[in-house]
Amino acid sequence: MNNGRLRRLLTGRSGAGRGGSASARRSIPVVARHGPLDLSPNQLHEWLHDQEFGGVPLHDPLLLRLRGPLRVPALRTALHALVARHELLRTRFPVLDGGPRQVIEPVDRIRVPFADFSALPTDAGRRRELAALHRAALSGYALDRCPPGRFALARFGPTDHVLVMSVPHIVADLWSVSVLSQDLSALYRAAVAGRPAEPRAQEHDFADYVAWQAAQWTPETRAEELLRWQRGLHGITALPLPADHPRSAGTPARCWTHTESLDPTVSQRLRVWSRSENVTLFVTLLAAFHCLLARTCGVERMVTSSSSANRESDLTAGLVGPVPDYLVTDNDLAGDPGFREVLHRTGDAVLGAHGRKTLPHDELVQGLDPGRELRPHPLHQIYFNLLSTPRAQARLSPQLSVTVASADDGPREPFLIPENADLTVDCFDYGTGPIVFQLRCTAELYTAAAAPRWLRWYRSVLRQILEEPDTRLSRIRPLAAGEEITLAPAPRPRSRCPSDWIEKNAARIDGRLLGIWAKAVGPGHRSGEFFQNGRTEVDAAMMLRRIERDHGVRVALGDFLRAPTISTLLTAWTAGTSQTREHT
Amino acid sequence: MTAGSRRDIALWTASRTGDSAKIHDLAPTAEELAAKDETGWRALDRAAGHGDVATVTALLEAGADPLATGEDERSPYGIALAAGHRDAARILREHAQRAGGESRAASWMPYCRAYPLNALRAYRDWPAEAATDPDGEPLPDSTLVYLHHDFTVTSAIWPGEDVVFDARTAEWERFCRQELGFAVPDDLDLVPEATTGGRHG
Repeated sequence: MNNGRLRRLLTGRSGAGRGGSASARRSIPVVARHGPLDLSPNQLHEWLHDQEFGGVPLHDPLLLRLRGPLRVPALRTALHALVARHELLRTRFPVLDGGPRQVIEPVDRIRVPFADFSALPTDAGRRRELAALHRAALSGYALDRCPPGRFALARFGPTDHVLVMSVPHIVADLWSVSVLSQDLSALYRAAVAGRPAEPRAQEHDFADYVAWQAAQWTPETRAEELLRWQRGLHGITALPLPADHPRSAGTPARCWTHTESLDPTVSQRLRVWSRSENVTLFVTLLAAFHCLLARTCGVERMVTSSSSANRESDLTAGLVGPVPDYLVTDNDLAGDPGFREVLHRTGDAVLGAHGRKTLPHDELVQGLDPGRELRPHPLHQIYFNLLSTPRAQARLSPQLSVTVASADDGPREPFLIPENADLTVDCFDYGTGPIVFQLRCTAELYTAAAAPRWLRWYRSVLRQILEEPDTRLSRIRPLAAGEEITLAPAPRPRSRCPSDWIEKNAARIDGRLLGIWAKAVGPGHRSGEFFQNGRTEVDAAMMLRRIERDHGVRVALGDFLRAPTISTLLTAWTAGTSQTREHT
Repeated sequence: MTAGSRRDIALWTASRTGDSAKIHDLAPTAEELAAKDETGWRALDRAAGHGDVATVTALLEAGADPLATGEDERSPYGIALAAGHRDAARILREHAQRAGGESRAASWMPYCRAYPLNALRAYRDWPAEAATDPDGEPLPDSTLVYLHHDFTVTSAIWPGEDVVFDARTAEWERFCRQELGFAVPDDLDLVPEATTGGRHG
C-alpha cells in the first residue's frame, strides 16, 4: 500500500468504500470444490476459540422485526437464494484429515424453518416469544455437525414477523451481515416484483479468497516477515494494568462486558475535532486510549492490537466471511508530550502499522513467542477497535418497517462472556449520533465494577483532551479525586517442564499418554514442553480431542494453553482415568 | 440461455407484458417455449412473474412445462406465488400437479407452531418424563415448545433437534389437528389478499 493511500485512509478522505478502487479490481482463481477446504487464519482462530470454550456459541443472533404486509413466499425465495449465493451460510467445520476443514453443503440440505407463534395470546412486546427465538437461534450449535449460520422466519401475526439471522464469527463478520442484509433486500424485492434476481457482483466466494490469500505467502516470505516483526517489536512486554486482584492461575478466560453511549454532543465534537486535526476518529480515540493506559499503567511505550474491516478492495467488498485484518500499533509517549503531539505520534504509529504486511495474527503471536512463555502475550493483551461498518439495514419494502428486536431477557450488564484478552474496547461509530463503547475486561484481574470504571476513566480523558487539546500527558487525570489504583503484580512465570522431566517421571506416565504425546510433538522429541518444533494451537487442540475421544479424558484447551506441558496432561489424565475406573 | 431469435424475443416480451393475444398469434413451438432469455428465464417464468392469468393459461395450453426450473431453481408456480399472484399461482400449481410434479412449494417446510407446554400436556398419553430440565424436573406449563409438520415436538424451532416428543400415532395426530387446531398453512394462504390476481408484479 502506498503512503498516499495510507494518508488518505488515516485522514478519512479515502475513496475506498464498498466499490473499491479501479486499481484494486482484480480477479482471483476459483478453487475446486471437490472436497474439504482449508480454513482461513481468522476461521482457524474462531475454531480454536470454539474448542477452547467448549462449543458454546459466542455470537449474538440478529432478530429483525418486520411489521407490515410481508410477502412471506417472497421472503422464502429470497432466503433460499441468499443461502445458495453465499457458500459460508451452508458450510460446516468438521475435523478431517487431522485438522479442521470446511465442507460446503448442497443448497437443498439447508432448511429455513417457518415458526408460527400466531396462536399464542399476545402481550405488548412479545417478549416471551422473542426470548424464545433468541434461545432457539443459538440452540443446536455444533460447528462440525451442521452449518452454524442459520435463518428462520417467525410469524406473530399476518403483519408481524421476525426474521432470525444467526451467523457466528467463523461465518461472517459485521460487514458480512451488512452484505447479507443488502442482498436479502434485493432478492426479496426481485421476488416481489416477479423478476429474476440480479446476479451477484463477485464470481469468487470466500473459499477462493482464502486460497488466494494463502498463495500470497511462501515459507521464505513468511520467515522474512516474521523477522521484521521480531525486530520491530523487540522488548515489548505486557502492560502492568491496574487491577482489582492479582491474576489467578487457572481461571477460565472470561471477561466482564459493559456498554455505554457517549454523549452525542461530545461524540460530534470528537468527529469535528478529528477532522480539524486531519486525522481519523480512530486515531483520536486510540490516542486518548493510549493516554489512559500511560496514566494508569505508568508506562511510556505501549502496544495495542486493532481490527480493521479489510474491505477496501473489490476482492473483499461483497464477500461474506470473516475477512478482518489487524493492526498492531506500537506507540511511544516518552517525554511528557501534549495531547496534540500524542495524536500525531499515534497517527504515525498507525501509519506504520498499516504499512506492515500482516502475517496471520495467531501465526505472528506464535512466532514472537514460540515457547508460549509470555502470559499474557502483549499482542493478545489489549485490543482497541473502531467499528464503523455500515449498519445492517434490510430495506425490504417501503411498506415494511424493519427494526432490530431485543429479546430483553439477557443478563444485566456487566456480565461475563468467554474471552481471552485482558482489556478490549470496541467503539461503534456511524458518523452521527452517539459513539457507543463496549468494554470488556478479564475476570482474572477484575471485579464486575471494573468495566464501567474503565469507561468512566476513558470518558474523562476524552473530555479533558477536547477541553484542552495541548494538555500534557502528565496533566491528564482519568481518575476521580481520591480514587486509587493498584497495579497488577507481574504474573508468575508459568511452570515449565525441564528437558529431563519425562525421563525422570517415566514410571508415573501411562504408556498410552506418552504415545499420544510423542506423536503430537514429533518423533524423537523428548521435551515435556508442547510448543516445540513448530507445534501450533491447532495441533494442541487435535491432541486433546484425541485424548478425549480415545480415552474419555477431557482436558480444556484453555487450561492446556496456560501450561502447555506433559505435566498438565498427566494431572488431568490421572484424575480422568481414576474417575473412569471408579465408574466402571 | 440463448441470444434469442426474433420470435423468441416476441414471445418473451408478450409473456413479460401479459399479452395473451400475441401468444396465441405466435403459436410457439416447444423449442421456443423452452428457450431462456438472457436472465435464464423462460416465457412461462416471465408470465408467472407478471401474473396475468390469460397469458399463463395461453402458454400452458401451448405446451409450456409448468415444472421446468431455471438456473435459480425457481418454478413458475414459485415465481407467481412470491410475486403475490395468487390466481396465476393456483393455475400453475394445478398444472404442475397434473404433470406429476411434487408439491414442493405448496407450503413452507419445515413448519412448526409454538404452544405452551400445558396445551400439549392435555394429551392423554403425554409422557410425564417429556419436557424436563437437566435435573429431571418438569418444565413449567408456560414453557414454549414447537409442534412440527411431522408431528414431533421440540424445545427449539429447528426440526429434529432437542426433541421432546416423537411418539407419532393416529391418536396424537387427531389430538393435534382437532384439539390444538394444528395445520400446516397452504402457501396461497400466506399471500396477502390485496395482491391477488395482480397484473402489476
